[in-house]
Amino acid sequence: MLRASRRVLRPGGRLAFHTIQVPPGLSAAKRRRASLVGPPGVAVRTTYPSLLRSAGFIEIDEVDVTAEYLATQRRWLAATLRHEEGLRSVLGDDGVHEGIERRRRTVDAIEGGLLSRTLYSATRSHRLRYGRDARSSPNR
Amino acid sequence: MSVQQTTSARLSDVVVHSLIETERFGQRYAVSGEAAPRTVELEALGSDYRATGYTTREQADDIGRLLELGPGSVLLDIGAGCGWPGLYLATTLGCSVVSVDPIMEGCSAALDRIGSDDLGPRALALLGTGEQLPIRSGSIDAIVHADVMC
Repeated sequence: MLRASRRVLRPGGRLAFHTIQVPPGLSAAKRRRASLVGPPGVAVRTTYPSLLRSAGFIEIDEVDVTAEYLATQRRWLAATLRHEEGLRSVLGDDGVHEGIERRRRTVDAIEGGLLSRTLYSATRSHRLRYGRDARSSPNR
Repeated sequence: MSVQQTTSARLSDVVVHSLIETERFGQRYAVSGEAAPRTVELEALGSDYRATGYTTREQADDIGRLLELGPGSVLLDIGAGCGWPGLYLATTLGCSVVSVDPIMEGCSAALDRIGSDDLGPRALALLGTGEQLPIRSGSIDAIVHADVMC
């Protein structure tokens, strides 16, 4: 996906994205717990800066936004509980119940240091690192 | 195994994205325009774009500044769902935006929003994935996505 992003960006174009991760240094047991609660690709071991460099990005910057992620998850949970009745008519009892339990597990996981969220930004390099970039695209 | 189960299992081998995930997001977007989910979204994120993730309005504004978006620039929003934050940034900063998502219901909602916000000349909503973008090489000034890679 990062290589596809590089292909469509003009030289010098900018990329910014948030992603949820399992922080480095956790025990195997905690990593497993984090994988169960977090999104499907949360436990990727390769670091995003190395992925970005490999895909031809430079000027890579990262900002930890875990505190904001926790605050946002808490607001989702609180708002869901406040409007539970209205949501039940739309999502059904099971849907609302599952949603609330998932939010609670996620809040617990962030508070326990199992999940973090980061904002990455990077610039598309001018130099072509991959010869096939210049040749292979059907959308050129 | 019934014919239906066999077909479903076969389709799971064929498609790139999980059928369960596709169905889950489709169902989510199909109801995200109802009153109660929109109220919850506004209280959680400060947005009213049928968003279901974690990028707040404040963070969307930060991204707009980080990417130096403005009139004349073209933003690509990958995995945009119903259009948050790409369509919001197009409205507030005057940039053009291409909103790409693999889920039909998300694209449809984004198209509705483009129409209601009168963004037509400056916004597109296309079906596509982050790996296979229906976009010409070197044509985009900036890209945003949120929690698509995890």
